[in-house]
Amino acid sequence: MSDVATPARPAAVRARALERHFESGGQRLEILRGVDLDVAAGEGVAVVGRSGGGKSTLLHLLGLLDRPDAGALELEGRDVLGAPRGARDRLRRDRIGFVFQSYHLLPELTAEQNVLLGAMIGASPFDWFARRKETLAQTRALLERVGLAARARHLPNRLSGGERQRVAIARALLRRPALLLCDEPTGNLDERTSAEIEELLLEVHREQGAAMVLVTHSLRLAGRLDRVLMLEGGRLHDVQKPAADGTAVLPTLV
Amino acid sequence: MDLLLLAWRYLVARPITLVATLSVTVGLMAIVIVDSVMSGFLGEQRALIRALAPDVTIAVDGFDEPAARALLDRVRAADGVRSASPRVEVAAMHRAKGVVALVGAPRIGDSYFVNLIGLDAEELTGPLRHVLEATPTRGERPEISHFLERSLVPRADEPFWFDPEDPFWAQRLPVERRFDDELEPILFGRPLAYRFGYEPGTVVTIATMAGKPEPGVTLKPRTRDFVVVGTFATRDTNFDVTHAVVPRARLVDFAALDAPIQELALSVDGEPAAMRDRLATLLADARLAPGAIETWEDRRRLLLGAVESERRVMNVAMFFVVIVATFSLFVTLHQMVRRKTRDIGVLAALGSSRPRAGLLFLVCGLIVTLAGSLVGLAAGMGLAHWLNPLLDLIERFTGWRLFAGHMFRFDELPVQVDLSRLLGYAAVSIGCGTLFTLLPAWRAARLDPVEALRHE
Repeated sequence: MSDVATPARPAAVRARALERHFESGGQRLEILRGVDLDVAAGEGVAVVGRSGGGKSTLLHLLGLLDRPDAGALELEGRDVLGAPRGARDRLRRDRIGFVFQSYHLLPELTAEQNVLLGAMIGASPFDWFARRKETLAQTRALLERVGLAARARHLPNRLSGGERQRVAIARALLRRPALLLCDEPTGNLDERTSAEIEELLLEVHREQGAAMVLVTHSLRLAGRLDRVLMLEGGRLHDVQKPAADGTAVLPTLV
Repeated sequence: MDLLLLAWRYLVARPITLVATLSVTVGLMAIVIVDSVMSGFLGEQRALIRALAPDVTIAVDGFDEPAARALLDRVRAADGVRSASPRVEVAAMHRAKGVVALVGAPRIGDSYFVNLIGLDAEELTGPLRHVLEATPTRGERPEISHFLERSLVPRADEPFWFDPEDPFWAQRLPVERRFDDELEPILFGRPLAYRFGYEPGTVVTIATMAGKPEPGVTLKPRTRDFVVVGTFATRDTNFDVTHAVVPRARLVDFAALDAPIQELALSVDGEPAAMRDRLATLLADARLAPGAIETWEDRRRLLLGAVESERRVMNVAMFFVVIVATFSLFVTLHQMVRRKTRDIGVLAALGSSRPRAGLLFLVCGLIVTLAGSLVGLAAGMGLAHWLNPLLDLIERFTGWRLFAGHMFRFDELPVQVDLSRLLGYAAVSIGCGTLFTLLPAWRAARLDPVEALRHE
């Protein structure tokens, strides 16, 4: 029996009894021990928990970068674990967006090219040139939306941490994903920049209507999402949302 | 599109890829130059062999003169035969009064070896000049007069011209041999004449043990005095230093040869091999049964085989040059995959498949090998084309001559660009480059995206 609430809206993600373990130093590490999760379209869910508790592993499973040892996973109502690898790659490309703590921009590409890359992957030259203008306009609009229109031609090493994360957010949104997975998106940023990125993330999340699963240690950010789940002992638990100022709840866990 | 963009950006962002590209470029450039020069040398060697040999020869050892002449007429009448000429060849020794022994020259006592070729004088001024005819410039067969020392031979159109009563000869002959009409004319190869100090008018004693021995006597040399009437020079110094030419009838008489004609030397239109086969059929139908009918390639198959063998050895050597030149690609890409591991994870997060990650590095490798090979090919061909002017320029500024052409009787370094073979080398280079790229690409394709994302 799951102790995670099921949303009333149609589920963007539905995970049941996800298990994942790793072997390390001859030991079996049970990271996820039957994770149940439902995230409705447009819903924002924060996942909190101790470092090394499996939050990123959960995101990798939800993002189809990794496969669980057991369990079931549906994305927009489709079973994705039974799908062939190519189909999972396409789903990840078209329906899932990632935002990482370390931004993970490709250093050789400009901000604009980093965003465009999402649209280029898997596109044949014919498709690409047919949709090039449209995609370019979309990219520029996104960069404008994240406040980086003027720095589109800059390489990542010429951008600040906050600016890099804005590019990463624009990249994740280019294909209008159904699921946005954010892995500690403000973890590398100072207080003020973190607040700006949080604001931006929440705004674009609302604008795009994508489901969002956000792993964070920031109680303030977690408190601004629809639900907060805690990953503990390899399982997810619903917890009470922290106060808006992020001062209450979960002090021992986060 | 993503692959091309990324591959290009990866390559231009890393100077080490330029080193890999240069390595392929320089490797292929070296191959092109070496191959072109080697081909030039081999081509010259083949041309020399070709120039000194008749297109087709017919052995007529067992024929008497009328039978050989009948056969000659028949052959001359055959379609495709431009000319046919009788000839004999005899091993002999030469010695001249006052000549100092030469160290290193093959000799017995103070006599030196020489091969005498007997040709009919009219053949020397006719269209067939196989022995004296050679190619001073590639691909041409010039007139015989080009090879005779005009300054030494007053009548190049009659190379055996010798008249002991003519003042020209009278003043050149030794006093005791003036007006001696027993002397036979002989032409020596120019380097041979130069080594021994032979000039027009020098009387040379020739000895041979060829021909039928007298009854009851074995190995008794025949000797006769010849007068040098001129010299010849082909492009084959080896030939020139070992051969002399005399009128065929005189040689047959001097050497007491059984067969007045040993072989017919033919110049033919078209492929010599085809003509050889046609002549064999024609002569068999006419109930004329000569000895072997051979093309120039048949006769020199051993030497030509050696030439081909040289080329094969060179091809193997070139293959190793390609491997060494493209190996740097393996190192470069191996390093690149290691450095771009996290990118591979990011690309996977953006929806790229694992094989596509491998493909990305394969494209990198292909761009490097293609660019390196094409630039190397073009640069090599350009350098090969301008090699001689370049060597001249180097000599002008430094005084250093890389290639001493006179040693080979070439005016310049022979260069022959064989585009099809060079394209083959480029293909091998691209193939090797791709092969060396496969392992790093395979490594990239096998990377776990999650591990790749965590890579520091």
